[in-house]
Amino acid sequence: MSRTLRGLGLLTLLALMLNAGAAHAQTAAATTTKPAIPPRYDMSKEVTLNATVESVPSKSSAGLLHSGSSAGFVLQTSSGPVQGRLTPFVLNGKGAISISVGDHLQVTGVMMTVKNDRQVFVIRTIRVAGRTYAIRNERGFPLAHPGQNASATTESKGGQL
Amino acid sequence: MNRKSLWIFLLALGATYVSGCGSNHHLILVSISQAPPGILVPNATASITATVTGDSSNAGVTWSCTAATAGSACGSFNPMTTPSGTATMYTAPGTAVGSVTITATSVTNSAAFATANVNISTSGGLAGNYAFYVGGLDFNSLYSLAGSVTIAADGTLTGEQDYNDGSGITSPEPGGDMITSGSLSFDPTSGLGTLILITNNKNVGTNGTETLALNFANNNHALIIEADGSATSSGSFDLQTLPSTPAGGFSFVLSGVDSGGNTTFFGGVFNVAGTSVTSGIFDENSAAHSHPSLNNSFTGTLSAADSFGRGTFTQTGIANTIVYYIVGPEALRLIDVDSNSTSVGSAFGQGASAGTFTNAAIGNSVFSIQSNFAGNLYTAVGQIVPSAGSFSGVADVNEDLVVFADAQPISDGTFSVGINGYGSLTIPSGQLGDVSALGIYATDPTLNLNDPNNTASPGAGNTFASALVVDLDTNLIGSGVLVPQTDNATASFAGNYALGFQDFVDDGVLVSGELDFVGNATATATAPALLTGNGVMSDPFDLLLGASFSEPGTFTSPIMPDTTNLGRYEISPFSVSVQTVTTPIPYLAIVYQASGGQLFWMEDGADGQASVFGGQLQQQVLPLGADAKKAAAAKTGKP
Repeated sequence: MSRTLRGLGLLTLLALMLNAGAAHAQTAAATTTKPAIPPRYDMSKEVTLNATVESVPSKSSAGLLHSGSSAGFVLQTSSGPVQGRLTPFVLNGKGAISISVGDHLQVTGVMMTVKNDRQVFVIRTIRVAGRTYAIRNERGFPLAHPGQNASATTESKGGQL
Repeated sequence: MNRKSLWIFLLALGATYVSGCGSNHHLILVSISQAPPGILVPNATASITATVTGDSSNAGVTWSCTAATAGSACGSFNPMTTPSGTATMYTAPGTAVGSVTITATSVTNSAAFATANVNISTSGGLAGNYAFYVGGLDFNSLYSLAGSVTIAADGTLTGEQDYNDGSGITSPEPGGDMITSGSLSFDPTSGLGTLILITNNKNVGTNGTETLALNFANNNHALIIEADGSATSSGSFDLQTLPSTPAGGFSFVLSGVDSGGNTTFFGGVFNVAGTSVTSGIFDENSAAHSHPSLNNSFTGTLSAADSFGRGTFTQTGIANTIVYYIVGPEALRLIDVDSNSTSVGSAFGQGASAGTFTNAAIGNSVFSIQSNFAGNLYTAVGQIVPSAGSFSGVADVNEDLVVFADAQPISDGTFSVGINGYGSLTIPSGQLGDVSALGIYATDPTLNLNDPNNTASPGAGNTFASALVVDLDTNLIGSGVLVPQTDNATASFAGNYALGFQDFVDDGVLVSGELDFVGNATATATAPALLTGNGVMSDPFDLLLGASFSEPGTFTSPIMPDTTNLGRYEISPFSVSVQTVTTPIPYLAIVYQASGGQLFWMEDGADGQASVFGGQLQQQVLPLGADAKKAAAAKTGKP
């Protein structure tokens, strides 16, 4: 990994002389790293789906020991059913989003293959009942407060599936 | 025979002598064959059994008790008289009266008796100031909790704390919450217990009452989880040295989410001189930004600590206000108390090494890192052998839903440590999943980062530094520690351990939430090597179908040393049985040994579970609580 060195001061230079291997440690100005590994979530591959909710994970059907015993979050699209991947914060807690079977949604995300060769649609935004919720950021990381990341208008990127 | 048993034996022997003199022909001996625990909380019950020999009439014993404090209740027995070898049920008095002497007296000859002592206490006989901190998940968001309690000799508990989930539940600042009362109780034979904190903030815990499960490793330190159904989390509970004044070089790490809900970690170094924070440098890895931000300089202001050891860092640029709680002069717990973000962590002193660190500070080490629940979930644990800025090693990684890799060889790794302790460690890309770029922030070589009061390990003679760690990768954001590996002998992984783990569960489509476990176990190094123990599982999100939010868990698992990589073990299977779930949780686990006293473990991704856990095993110093104090007194000949 390469790191950019900027704004080296006298002490920094002294430190560099003492320990060239720790050069980055002595800089006074902020730097950023270049990604060593491509990001998992590739926003350029995002698509937006119009879908009807076919199945929603319910608490009563959950359970670590029983994972897979329920269909999970399944969306019916014009191209067939899609397994949607939500985030841990979407259906839990006070900031949870209300989603029910039969709801019409617009979801934006990326189709990805996860462990055990499962194909899931990793959802970044959900538009439901006239509000758009960002449940992940543009890097695909879950957002802890989906309810606080809601807007009344939707913003679509990518194409239609 | 421990000292308590020896004491009972000597008393019984004395009883034998007296009995023998009185009866001439019938030598009656009374002994306590099943002693009560050293400590009981008020109203608790315990079975006690006396054995009588030499009594031809087989009349058994009569039970009685006296409290050391004159006029205090001492408890009751049911039945009052029992045959030899039959237990009576002792019920402790309703208040913490302290020491109670229980006596079993021969019915046939009252000169023959045996006694046992029990301490009736709500704090296990422990007293003093203790700091605690946990990080985990409530029903809003990630949350952080840190505080301090003062436990008086009679078990009375008061304190203060700061709770913050950055999403609506935040202690009122600048003062935080008051802990108006509560209790600490635990089993001194295992260290497993309960800490109840009654606060003046009805928004935290259950209507203001937080219940935490903890397991002591020694009298100064316990692993702790919140286990009351309102939230779940893991952290540490440590004896405070108050007053203490932070000074000199420090390294720190914070884990949480920013105001947008993005997982965010900070790590770095700084100096404290009086009320000034100087020469600070921090790294930030936040999901809000495409790349980590490194080498950010900062300064700040430190306020004086109050009587609970609570003070503030301000004007750092990391958060508006970071509250600290002193554990000791070189150990602080940190919590961001800004209402729109949350993070929690620690700062550790650099001691005499401040300003003099070099690459030579890092010796053979074990590292352990983990995400928080808002990130891409993962855990990685491994061990490294450094050599002049490079290293080799072996490590395991479990990236939930994406990849896991067991016993991955690491070669051509590089690291650097600046004179101020700020450094980096790079695992060549692709050797350990997505784990590659780590920030490391070196600390005082004499400090035990997981048990800051532990002066025995690594101890004053240790020369290699520990370090706090922040994962500065693109796909993974987490934190952890790197500690010297001083003993990787298989025979050293034996004895009694306090242990805990934080388990993040997310199968991507159905199940998500957090489990936390704290407990104790006995490890045997000789065949069959087993890890056998029990504890408490916190599950407020009902991840274990049918389980209540908190309940006992047990396990008996084989320990399988990795003959290729000494110091690495597989606990396979690590099947945890939880009371109301018929099927044990089918974990597999990997352990790395820094020493016989300190090991790190993680969930092996090969178990197929949609979860990742990370945690520690810390060797216990027994007995705990008042028993330990009695043992210490016996050593010195003091009452």
